[in-house]
Amino acid sequence: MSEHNTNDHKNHDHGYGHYILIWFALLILTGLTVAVAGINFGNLTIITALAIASVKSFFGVKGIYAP
Amino acid sequence: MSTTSSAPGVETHVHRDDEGSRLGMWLFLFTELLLFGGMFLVYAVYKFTYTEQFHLAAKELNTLFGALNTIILLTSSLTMVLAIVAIKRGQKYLSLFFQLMTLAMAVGFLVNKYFEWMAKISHGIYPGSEQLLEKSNGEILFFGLYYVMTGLHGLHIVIGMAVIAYMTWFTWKDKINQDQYVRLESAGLYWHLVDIIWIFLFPLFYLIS
Amino acid sequence: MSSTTNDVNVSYLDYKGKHSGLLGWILSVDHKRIGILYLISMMVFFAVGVTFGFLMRLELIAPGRTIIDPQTYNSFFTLHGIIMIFLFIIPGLPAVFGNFFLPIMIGAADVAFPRLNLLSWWLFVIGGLLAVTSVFLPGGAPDTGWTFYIPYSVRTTTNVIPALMAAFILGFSSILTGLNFVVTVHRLRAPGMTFFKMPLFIWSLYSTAWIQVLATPIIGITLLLVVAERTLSIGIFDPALGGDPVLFQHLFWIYSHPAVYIMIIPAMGVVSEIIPVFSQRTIFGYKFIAFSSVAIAFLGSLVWAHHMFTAGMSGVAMIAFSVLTFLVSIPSAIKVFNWVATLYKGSIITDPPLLYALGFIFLFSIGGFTGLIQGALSVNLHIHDTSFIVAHFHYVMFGGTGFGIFAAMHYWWPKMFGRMYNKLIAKTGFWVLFVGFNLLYFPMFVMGWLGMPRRYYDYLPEFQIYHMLSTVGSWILITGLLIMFINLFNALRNGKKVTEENSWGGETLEWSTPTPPYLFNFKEAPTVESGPYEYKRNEVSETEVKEEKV
Repeated sequence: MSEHNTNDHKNHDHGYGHYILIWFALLILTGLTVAVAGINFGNLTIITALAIASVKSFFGVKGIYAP
Repeated sequence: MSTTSSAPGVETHVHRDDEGSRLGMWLFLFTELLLFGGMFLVYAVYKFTYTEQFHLAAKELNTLFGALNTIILLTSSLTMVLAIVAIKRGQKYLSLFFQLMTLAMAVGFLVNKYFEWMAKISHGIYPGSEQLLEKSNGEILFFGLYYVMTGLHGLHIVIGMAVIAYMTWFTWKDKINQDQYVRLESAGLYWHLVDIIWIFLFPLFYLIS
Repeated sequence: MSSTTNDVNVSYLDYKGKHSGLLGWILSVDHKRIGILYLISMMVFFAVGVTFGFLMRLELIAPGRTIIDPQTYNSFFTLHGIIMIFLFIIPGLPAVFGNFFLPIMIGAADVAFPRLNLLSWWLFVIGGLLAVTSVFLPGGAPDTGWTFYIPYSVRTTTNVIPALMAAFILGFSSILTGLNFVVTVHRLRAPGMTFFKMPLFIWSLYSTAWIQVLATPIIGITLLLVVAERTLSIGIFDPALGGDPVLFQHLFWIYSHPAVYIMIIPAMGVVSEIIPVFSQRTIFGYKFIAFSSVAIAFLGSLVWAHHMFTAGMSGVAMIAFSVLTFLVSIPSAIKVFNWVATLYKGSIITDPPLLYALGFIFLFSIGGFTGLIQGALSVNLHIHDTSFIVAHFHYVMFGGTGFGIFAAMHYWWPKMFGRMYNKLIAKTGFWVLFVGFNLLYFPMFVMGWLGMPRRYYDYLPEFQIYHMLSTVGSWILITGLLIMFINLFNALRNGKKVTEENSWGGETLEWSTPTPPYLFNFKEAPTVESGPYEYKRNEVSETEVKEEKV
């Protein structure tokens, strides 16, 4: 059986705290989305909401998967 | 093409390639994003055509339900990733605990969704209902999209739960362990995708009034 | 795995695994067996599709009713389209020959996810059977055409939902195959096999796999939305509720136009394999052919609205889509020129695979050029929805991809089964097929230009001569198909046994495996040192290889 050497563990092991911080930040951003939605920016409202959502996704993905 | 032998013996079919599995999973997530992307496209077209009526219709939705479900899903994503950290550190039971927490929150999400939908339906707002057909075209489309998109998302929650439950079983049986956890990671990735889609659904339906 | 080396050094056809008999096949995760499963199921569906096409042609031999009523005719062209597109042309090369040869040609033992591969086949069969059962369920066979255009697909009372679900499931199967191939190409190439040492068939499969992964989800969701529209009347495509039917057309073609390239690119890959082998010359312009596959995949994703020039669109959009459509012809033409340049001064051996490959070039060129004619806006308005279109896409899909599949069959048959077919009969079959094909479809160009609409059950008497020629052509074509398939299948039992590794003098890796290949393909895991088309025997080509390197 051939051995693949790519199955090594990632060395950048984040701790529990790291993820809890990210979670906390995401919650704050959620609160921000809801709060911003209350203010009427006209057409900008939805853009702001989506921008925050994008930041959240990017932040979440990066926080979890980047080294 | 000239060939020479490198490794003696025949390579067998069962080989392990975690990096390949991850690549495959990410590609699959792309297809899921595109699946929802098609619906977001439809949403964008009608939001643009019927801006005012979409605002009006969104007032019918309860932001509290939506926000609560957002928090539930975000937290379940947290427990999912913590389950992976735990298994990496060999803490089997802690990982199992986190996986079960994730499942419990998924159930919570669905229960919440159920009450939300039931409230709408009891008010006579569902596709094809007389009350909905009396409304303007934009509102009909808004609720059409609302039911289809949140419905499809709900279906993904159910699929995700089945996958996580399966992983929990594997973890229990030690088939997922400190050395082999790529399946749990993939399940986690799927769960985060479901979460991310909700993060976009939430403002598009609940926060545009 | 507990099996010793000796156990797996047997032909994949003879290998006895956990299951035996039929189960040993339909539960096998071996990529070669799955390829054969696809081959068999695809051939069955192809026979069904041909039968529908034959009956339609027979009906059209004379104006008015000849053998079937209009409703039956409508379901025939619908099922002919669904079966031929989703069950024959799309899986034809990637799923059959891609599965069988992609791992071998990159020097791997299997695809990246063997079990997922088997799942794809099962989904394929389930989807295919669902499509066929939709004919027999109460409610009547679907009659919308394979495009499922709104609003008719919502209004009709026939079994549209099973057909839609069938297409959805088949799409899912296609996605999983594409995903598998992308990961396989990235992760499992043999040592030394860089991207630019990959055979061109692999490049074509790789480009195709990306389109499968990126475009298919859109059709998936679109078909689901039609199902939702039919069952729940959500209004998304219903003008009465504010929806937009043209939006459906956009979503449909965003997938279905790239799907055309899912169908044609692998066939181009096969031709790029066959031409150098049978002219014993290195391929001309390797990188151009490789990149043109990628370019077609990319540009092909941006031209969907050229199917909708009459559906209502802004002038600017129409011009943009028209220009993009013209642009796609550039990478296609690059391939054709490179193939012809490869043949130039080669020592050409006209064995059956080369004949089919040349047939591909000829017919595909006609199909491609007539495509350009339709890409021009003013002409498009004239020939939109006429049989000119039908002729065009049959030249591309059948004359192109179909002949590509037949070429692949004749090229790889001895490797796959260890038996050689009768070459003389194969050549005869080709010529009968070729003549029948042109007689069947060329008159459609003419009558389409004169105004014969497509999908019509009845027509004016002045078109009868063309319809008659076309129908006679269909008989000749079917004769050719029968000669070809009977010859191939007869070879499995009575053909000359092939034991040598290399039947044609090919230089790609599949010709260095035992015939038929062992369970894990190679006796020893290969290492690659040179490119795929570096022929040593032919002196002319050898000097030219040197020249190219300078």
